[in-house]
Amino acid sequence: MVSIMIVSHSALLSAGVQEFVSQVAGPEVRIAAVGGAPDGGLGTSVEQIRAALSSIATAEGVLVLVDLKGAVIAVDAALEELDDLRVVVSNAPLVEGAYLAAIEASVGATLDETATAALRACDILKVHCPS
Amino acid sequence: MAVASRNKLCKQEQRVVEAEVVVQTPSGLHARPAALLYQTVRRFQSRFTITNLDKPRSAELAITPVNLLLADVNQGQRIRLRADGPDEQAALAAVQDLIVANFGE
Repeated sequence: MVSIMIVSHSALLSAGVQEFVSQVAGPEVRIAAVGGAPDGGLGTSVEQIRAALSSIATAEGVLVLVDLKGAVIAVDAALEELDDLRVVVSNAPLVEGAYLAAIEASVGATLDETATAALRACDILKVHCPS
Repeated sequence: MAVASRNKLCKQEQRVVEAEVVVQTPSGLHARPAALLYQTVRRFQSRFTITNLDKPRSAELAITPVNLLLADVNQGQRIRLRADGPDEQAALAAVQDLIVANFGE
């Protein structure tokens, strides 16, 4: 089964998204949350990302959801020393993307299908703005 | 010609079943109920569509995680579910049961 990884600049933010999506995904989908700099401030930790990726990796792969571009750079750095992992970093908005991805992963979808489901988050209109 | 008529015959043999239900959960068909509905649908082989009958200009949408959010079903709104496939009766019954039971909420 595809795993989901949440990477943000805040440990609390990542943990909150993880709490939210794990309730819809059920117990079978592995979801890791990494956030914050090693000193506890805002930022990302390549070491923590690497450890989390290794811990949830499955043969089907890992879909990574991020808050801001800096998290993508950290994930790419972490992947440089990880071989043979199937990892896709999603451009989807963090909360909606993680939600849709977790649901798709929970029914046994492939990494491609899970990544596609996450990107559909861009189509969601939450508030109908006056034009 | 022969191919076309055979296709037509296959189409006629595949029955489509449908049901209309009112969603009663306070949050409508969002977040957890939407996830549960999709997970239930995917336990079956049949393909499902959903139409929000109480939303103006609503389309019939294949049931996917994002389409359930786009259907934007709120409490008290009536939806039409269509199932098409080898196990459509059982599939539709399971989904109806889930909605009538308010998703266990």
